[in-house]
Amino acid sequence: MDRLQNAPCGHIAFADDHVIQEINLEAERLLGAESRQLLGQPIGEIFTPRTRVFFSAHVFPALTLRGSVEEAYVSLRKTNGDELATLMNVVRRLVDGELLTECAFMPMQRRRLFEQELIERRRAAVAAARAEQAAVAQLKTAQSQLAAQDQLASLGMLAAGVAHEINNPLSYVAGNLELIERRLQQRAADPELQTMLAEATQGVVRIRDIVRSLRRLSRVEEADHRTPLDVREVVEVTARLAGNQISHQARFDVAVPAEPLIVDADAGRLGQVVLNLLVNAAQAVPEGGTDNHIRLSAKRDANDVIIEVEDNGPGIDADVLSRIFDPFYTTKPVGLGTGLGLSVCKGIVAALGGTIDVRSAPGQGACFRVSLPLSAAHVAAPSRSEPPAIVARNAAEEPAQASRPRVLIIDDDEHVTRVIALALRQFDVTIINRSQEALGVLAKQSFDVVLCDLMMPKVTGIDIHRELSRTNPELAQRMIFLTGGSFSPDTDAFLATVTNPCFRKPFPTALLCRACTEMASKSA
Amino acid sequence: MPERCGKFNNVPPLEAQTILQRNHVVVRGSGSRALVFGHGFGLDQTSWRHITPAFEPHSRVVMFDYVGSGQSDRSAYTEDRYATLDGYAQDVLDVLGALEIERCVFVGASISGMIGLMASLRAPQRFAQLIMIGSSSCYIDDPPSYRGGFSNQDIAGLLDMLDQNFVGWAANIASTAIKDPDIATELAHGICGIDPRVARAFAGASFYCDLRAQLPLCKHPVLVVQCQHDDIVPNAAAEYLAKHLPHSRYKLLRASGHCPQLTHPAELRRMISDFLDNQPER
Repeated sequence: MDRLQNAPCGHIAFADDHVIQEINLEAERLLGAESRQLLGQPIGEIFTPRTRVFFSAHVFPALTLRGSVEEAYVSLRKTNGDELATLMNVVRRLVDGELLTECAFMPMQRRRLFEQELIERRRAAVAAARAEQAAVAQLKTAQSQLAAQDQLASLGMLAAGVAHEINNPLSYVAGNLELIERRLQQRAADPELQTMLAEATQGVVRIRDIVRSLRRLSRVEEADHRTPLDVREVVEVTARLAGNQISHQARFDVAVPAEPLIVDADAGRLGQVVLNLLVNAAQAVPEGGTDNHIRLSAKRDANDVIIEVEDNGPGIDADVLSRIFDPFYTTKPVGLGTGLGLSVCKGIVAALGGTIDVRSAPGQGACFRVSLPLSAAHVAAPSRSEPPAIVARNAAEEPAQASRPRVLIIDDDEHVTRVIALALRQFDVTIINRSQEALGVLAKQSFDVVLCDLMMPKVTGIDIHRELSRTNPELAQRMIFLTGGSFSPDTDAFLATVTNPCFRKPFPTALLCRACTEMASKSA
Repeated sequence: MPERCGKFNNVPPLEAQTILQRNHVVVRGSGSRALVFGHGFGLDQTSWRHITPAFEPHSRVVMFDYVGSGQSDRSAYTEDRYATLDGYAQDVLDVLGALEIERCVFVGASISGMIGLMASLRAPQRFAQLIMIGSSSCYIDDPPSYRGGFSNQDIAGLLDMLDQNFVGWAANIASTAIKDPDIATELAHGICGIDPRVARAFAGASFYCDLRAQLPLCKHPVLVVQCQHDDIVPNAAAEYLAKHLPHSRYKLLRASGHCPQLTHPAELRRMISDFLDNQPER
């Protein structure tokens, strides 16, 4: 027994009542206890809280199954409160008719430090592996997003090219249709012919709308061109672009007020934001749901203009909500995102001096809200895509034949000049198809109005305007520009500096006619 | 079909057979009453071996291992699902669904008492009564009014200790495996009924849980059994549990330790029988 008392390991025994029945001298020494101080005490006295749990949940069940547990690491509590790390073997066996649990333990402070270091390193390795996985996943997302943006950029360029190619022929198709209509009105025409004509005209209007929408899209990747614009127009154009797709998914309402909502923004970029919010909403509502509802609205709120896109979909969880504007954050499968995520929207809106936020809760739908400061100018801007303001001033009807104003038409497309000439028959029209000849003609003859295409080979409309501003500034003011629609930063910048009206092809020839009359009336 | 609710709504239902294998479900005995036994942390269904035979003549006795414990299919373990007790409660509902048990008495040891409570709140119609042995609705002290028995540091220390023992086990298993691969496998699975890698997560989910707010929502009769000298759950925590469950009976067992099903099976069997005999048959 003395040998056990002084053995080079601690020895403690207790029964299922958890009362310490035996403890050797070495155990007392290791625990810093007085002789026999721990005898009769609950075993819990020398277990740290975690050892209590570990013993109950791990060691004891194993003992009842197998009778012994080896090499358990457990921490004991010394009588002064310090911890003692030990390695413990435990057996449970019948001794004198009673089930006794016997523990033999030895300190392992230094080994514990070593093992602690191993654990730390393992944790660090696991963390590093996880971080690497996350980084790879993030890289993949970024790559697919870039690829999607590339795709969109090419689409934009293609759209711009197509728009330009279509606009010129479209302008003379539309012009000729208008002229045919006018002629038909002058004689007793076949009603069937009139129906055909009306349908053809409708078709042209639709083509024009489509091309206009394409042009908006193409401006997505262009540099930021902030001008005062009416948010109602952006909302309507975007609603038209997305409306067809959305109406399959949900009831789609658009609400704008009667008064203009003018902000300083780039129409293309703002349109991109609204379009993106609409696409998100369409993806949020359940597919095939019969009660789906998406609402796009714009309104004024004090000195801000508010654009809201609301859906009655399943709503957004709080954890998603907090990250929804983060770059690379998506809940959609890879490849399904547009590549123009909400983070891009946030960036655009922030660049315009506005804010974007979202209200949502699970089951409550979602409402994305864009807030932009009202334009300091506060006034409706002359919109280039619509007839110029000058037209709205209800110009007098066609002037008397006697004083026929002289109009010079400069455009490199003969079809275009021919149809314009036909439309402007009440004027004295001169046509120039090679723009390099224009300045010579302008130097020799006088005109009341100059109709001039902006983009022409060799000498452009800008060149002609610049020269005319020097030699005949009054006439330079009476220029009306025409454009096929492919805006470059140069033409945009130029148009921003002049007050001349600019017609986008195709345009109703009647409006051009009125503009010419108005311009001519300014001629001395 | 198994019940599907809570956060795993969108997971397609598993085949009943898959669930029975996944949770190593064992059904014994027969009778109109179904007794379902849920084991505690660190244990497996073998911990019920002294209790269940007594009930087999008159009841359908169901035992199972939570995924990650005992002989469950460890490949079904995912960190996400079992990060909280939700995943374990879903295991219970999955098993009831797979066996098409419409109504059961759920007997839960330790943390299983809380897992059973969570399952019963999700699908109350599936439960007739609950029996909780050595259970606590919150293990961490919440001064001044609540004593759970542990501080946050204690629990963090426990998780460290599980890691520490994992190192020991790994070394032990490695050296044994060289001599006898079969023994090594048995060691890895059998040493305490729980995969050491799972243990840390299960311990975290168990000891950081706080179900005190859910207790008043329980509509079922509950028997709360507490060992007089439990070394994990203070009597105050067990009394709190019983006091805040609206239809509970509190029974103090003259025993030490946290596993009366292993140390005091006869007394525990009697308490369970008395409780069941005093309940109306379903």
